[in-house]
This record gives sequence, C-alpha cells and structure tokens, in this order.
Amino acid sequence: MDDETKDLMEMVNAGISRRSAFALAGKLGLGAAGLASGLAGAGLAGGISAARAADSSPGLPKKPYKFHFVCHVTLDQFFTPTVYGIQDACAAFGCSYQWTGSQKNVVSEMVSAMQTAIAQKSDGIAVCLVDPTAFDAATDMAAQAGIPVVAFNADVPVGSPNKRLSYVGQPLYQSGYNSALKWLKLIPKGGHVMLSIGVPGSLNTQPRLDGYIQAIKDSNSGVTYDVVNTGPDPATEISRVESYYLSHKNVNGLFGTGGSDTYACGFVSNKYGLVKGGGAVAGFDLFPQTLDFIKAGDVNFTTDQQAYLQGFLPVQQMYLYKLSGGLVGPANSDTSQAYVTKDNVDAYVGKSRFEGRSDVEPT
Amino acid sequence: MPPTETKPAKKTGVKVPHTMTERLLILLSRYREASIAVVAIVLVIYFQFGSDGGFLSPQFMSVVLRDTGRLGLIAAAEVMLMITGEIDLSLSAIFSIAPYVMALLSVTYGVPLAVGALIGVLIGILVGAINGIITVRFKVPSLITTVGMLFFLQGIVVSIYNSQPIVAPVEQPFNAIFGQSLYQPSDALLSWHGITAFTPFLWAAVLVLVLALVLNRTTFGLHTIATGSNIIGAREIGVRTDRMKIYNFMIAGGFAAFAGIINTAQFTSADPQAGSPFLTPQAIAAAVIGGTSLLGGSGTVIGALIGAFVVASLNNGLVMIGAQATVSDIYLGAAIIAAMILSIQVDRLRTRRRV
Repeated sequence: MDDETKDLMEMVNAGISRRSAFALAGKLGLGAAGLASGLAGAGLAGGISAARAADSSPGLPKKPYKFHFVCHVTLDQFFTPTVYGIQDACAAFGCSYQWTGSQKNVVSEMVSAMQTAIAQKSDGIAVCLVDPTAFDAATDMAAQAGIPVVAFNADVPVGSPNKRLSYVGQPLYQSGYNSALKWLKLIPKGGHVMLSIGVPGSLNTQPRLDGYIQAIKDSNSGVTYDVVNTGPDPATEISRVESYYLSHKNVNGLFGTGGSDTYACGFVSNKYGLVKGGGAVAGFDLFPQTLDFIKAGDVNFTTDQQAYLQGFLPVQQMYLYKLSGGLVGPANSDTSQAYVTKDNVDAYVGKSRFEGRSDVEPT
Repeated sequence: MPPTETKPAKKTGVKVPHTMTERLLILLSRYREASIAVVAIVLVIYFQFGSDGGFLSPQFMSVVLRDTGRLGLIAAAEVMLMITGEIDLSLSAIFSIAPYVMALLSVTYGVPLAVGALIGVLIGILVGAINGIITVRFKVPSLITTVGMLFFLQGIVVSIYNSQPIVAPVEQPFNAIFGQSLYQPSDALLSWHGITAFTPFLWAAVLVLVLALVLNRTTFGLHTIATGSNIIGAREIGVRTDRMKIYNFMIAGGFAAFAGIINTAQFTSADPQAGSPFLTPQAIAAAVIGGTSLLGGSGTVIGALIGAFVVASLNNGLVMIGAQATVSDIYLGAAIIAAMILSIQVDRLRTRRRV
C-alpha cells in the first residue's frame, strides 16, 4: 500500500482498520478485487475519491464489548488460529476478549470460568461444551443475565435443554461418519482397520469415533475394526499405534480421531510404508507433521475443521447480537467440510495466520 | 524378624546352596532389584505367550525399550531426589522445554542440533538448580516448588511459539546417535542400523549405570544417601546436605532435558505438550515399584529402569494382546497395582532371607 493510501486511511476514522479489513477480507476468501471494493466502502483504496466515501455507510460502529472464551484445553496448539480469529474479529469490531477455561479438560474449572465471566458482566460467552449437561446451569444463569452464550468447537447433544444460542464448529459425529465414508473406499472388502482415540469418552473425539464405527456398520463391507486407546501424549501414542501395527500386520488402515493420534498413525505409516504398500491412513486436524506425511504420501488425508473460524464467527455473532439488541441471532455454522490431501496440502504448509503457524497478519 | 519361621534355610554361613530354589533365594536376598526383576520376567512370559511369541521380536522390543528409555531416565532422576527426601514434579515440563528450545534455535537461527541439545541440557540443569535453591534456601517443600515450576515452564513453552509443534530438522549423525531408528526389517540386528532401533534405551542404560556407580561407589553417592536417611546426623558429620540436594535437583533436570532431546531426535518433532502430566507420575510409579522408598534414604536407579520396563511393557503389551480402548486403562491401572504388590511381596521374602 502506498503512502497516499496510508494518509487517506488516517483521515478516515469511521469503519474498520486496515489490519482488520485485510484480516476480514482474507478470511472471507475475497481476492484483490473484493478487497479493493471492500476498502472502497470505507473510502480507503488508493485512487478512490473521498467524495465517494461520503456517500456510503460509515459501517458498523466499534463497540468496547468484552467477550469471554471458555476453552477445555486452553494451551492446545489446535486453538492458536482460533485465538487469531478472535483477535482479528475483536479488532474489526472494537471489542476485547479473554481466553480462559481449563488446561486439561477439567469441566469444573470451565464452569467456574463461565460463572466468573457472568459475575464480571461479560458481553458474551463462547464456550466449548465438552460435557452434555455440566454447562446447562451456567448457561441458564448467563441467559437470565442477558449474556449471549455461543458454543464453539464442541456442542451438547441434539435435544439438549442447554440454552446456548448457536454452535460454531464441526458436527463431530457427522464429520467422523463422512471421513469414514471417504477412507472406506480405500479399504478392501473384509479388510481390518485400527481406530484410535487419545482419551476414550472425550466429548470432542468420541463422537468422531462413533461416526467412524457407524459408517463401517452401514457400509456392509465386512470391514472389521479394533479401537485402541492411544494415551495422553505423542510419544505414548506413537508407541501404542506402533505396537498395534507390529502385532496386527494384517491391518489395512490406521485412523485417528484427534490431532496427535493422527500424527502417530502417520509416523507409523511412514516408518513401515503402510500407505505406500497399499494401506490407508487418515484422521483429523493439521499437525505440521501430519501435513508433511500427507505431502510425502504416508497419510491419505486429514480433516480441517477451520479453527480460525471457530474464533472469528463467535465474536461476530455475539457482537451483532449485542448491537442489534438480539434481533440478529446467532446461527449454527458448520466449519468442517474441508479435507487436506496431497493435491492441496501445499496451501496448508506455508506460514499462514489462518492455520496458526504465523502471527503476522496477511497482506 | 526371627528366622525360625522361614523355610529350611540353614543359618550356618558356610552352607553351599544346592537346590535351584536356594540359589534363587540367595540371589533375591542379595539384590534389591531382584523383586522388580521377577515382576518383569513374569510379565514378559505372560505377554510372550499371549502374543504367540510376538512380544520378544526385535521390532516390538525396540518399541518397548524406547519407552523404557524415556521413562527410565526420568525415573532414575526421580530416584536420586527421592533418596535425598525430595521430589521433582517439574521434570515433565523440562522434558518439553529442552528439545523445544533446541528445535526452535535450529529452525530459527540455524544453530546445529548438537549445540542446541547442549543448551537444552544446560537449561534443564539450571532449572534443577533453581528448584533446589528455592527448596533448601527458602524452605519451600519441593512438592510445591516443583508444581510451581511445572506450571511456570509449561506456560513458557507454549507461549514461546504459540503452542505450535515444530518439525525438528534431521542432522546426521546427531539423530542416529541420539534416537532416530534407521532399522529396517532387511537390516541385521547387530548392524549400525539395527543398533539405532535401540539407541534411546542404550543411552538410558549407560546413564543409569553411571548413576548407579556414582550412588554406590562414590562419596557423592554416600552423602546423597546420608542426606536422605538421617539429615541431622549427616550434617553433624560434615555432609553439606543443602548442596547435596541442589546437586541432585540439577542431575534430575539434566536427565529430564536429555530424555526430552532423545525423544525429539526419535520422532523429529518438538511438541510443547510432549511431557504430558502423566509422565512424572508414571516415572514415580516406575521408581517405587523398582524398589525406591517414598520416605527417602534408600533407592535403586537400576530398579527404576526395570520398573520403567514394566510400565512400558504394560503400556504396549496390552495393545498387542488386544485390549480395547474403553477397558485398557482398567487393565493398566490394575496391572500397576498388581506389579507393586508382587514386588513388595518378593521384597519381604528377600529381607526375611537376609536376617
């Protein structure tokens, strides 16, 4: 951007900042043309007269709302792009946020964090609903206090009385089911597969596993499976997957349900040439090592659930809800349907803020 | 304990043992590690039969021994501290931060891995020194000092680079020496590639052996044991007990850092969450079933290594014999408790014999 444009930008107080505009535009998938027209709306693009800017709407006002995000694994690398999404949306709408919850999936800590947010008169709470009922009471409290609650990343089961306004994330069971439909095509009839889960019963991976299993049953392909508890850390996960592979050499595929067990499956495939020998490996999330294995042909695909959107959209929804006095209601958003394969992996490997591998705003 | 109630053990010291049982019992009475070794042998036999002979295959052993190495280094480090009457819960965080710094230095500034590894180990030793100084100078119980340190370091490691796992570069011979397995089924087991399948374990075995010698054959070892068994008496005869504790914290930190570096060399991945919160409890369990007292004053690093082998065998053997995800933790937990009971029973037998 040239100096003239910069000067213009400084003159225009209304609208959104350059940084936020780019972040927004980038996320919404707008190309250069879209960006230019978007900037034109706020009278920012070089060569567009200030007079024309006066005709258009000044855009949404910035509001100093403070939103609380309550996450079940606050330090997990998966949520790095989520936090970037929150930052970018907050910058766009003039809001602020607090990232809180539990480091290690402790539901009581998360409920306490919600209650603290309610006591602080938060303007909106986004929470990973990793327990089917534990958050109901706190969500009720928030609703009574007029605080919107949006679920992100993990949701209560269908039919739950929980009063959250919307869910932004991956429909977990369905995404497991869809992924299995995709990898079942790579498994011979009557073949045998290993399904892994890091922490059995965990609300954000167990439904994917259930989806896997249901898809196998529905397929009538005679595929048999074992479910392996891979354990709490990457080294243990690799060892257990490797142990399974070494003692079940007939296995046709290894399928993870979380980020690090998918990486573990890839590691074992890479070491023993499983995919290169005609087997299949797939799973979830975008560990950099998993992407390398996809590039090298040791993992067939992984599911991208767009963690960035899981931060950006809740802020946007809560901002609009507050601003419109509840007229513009939060809406469910499925962020999942994206698969990373050898064909598109290059786009993911780079240092992108949207995938959490760089904190630099795109230009 | 009166010896009369035990079996026909003759008490005339010159008796030459005749039967197998007698020889076994004498062996048991001589070595503290014997009880955990019995547990390990029972477990190996069980898994070997349960898997139709797959358990003792070189490839499967390379997996079990890799875990043994990782856990064994931390367990041995913990033993040194437990002997002095202290404990370190921050080792899992040191295990994460040391290789993370190494990988980050390499990726960002092109620092060779060997240099980064040295820096990583020094960080571990430094953290150990801080833990030790806070514990002995400010009289904070080490349980609390190191829980604080655990969170502090965990916070640092995730904030350095936004929680992102780093793909660590591969530099030979660094990786082959410190962990990466180049072993292929076509390689002979006694070739260089064959040996690389076991490097993490070999490193652990060598270091644990060194530690065992230090503990049993040097003044340093004597003072370490004296510090834990009778701290006032030790001070009176001139043992600098505070320093002994600090030194052992430093050893523990260095060991944990080195274990983390081997782990990263093995998987070419530096993960900020590599040292899970389960790592230290597992290592402490390995140390205790290996024959180290939680009360201080006595312990064995060799026993800790065998204890680590027991935990690693359970971890992987259960997968091999087909434990399904939902029930595998039940078996694991029950087996650790059973191993503990068996180990203590054999130990009682041992001490009874010795009287």
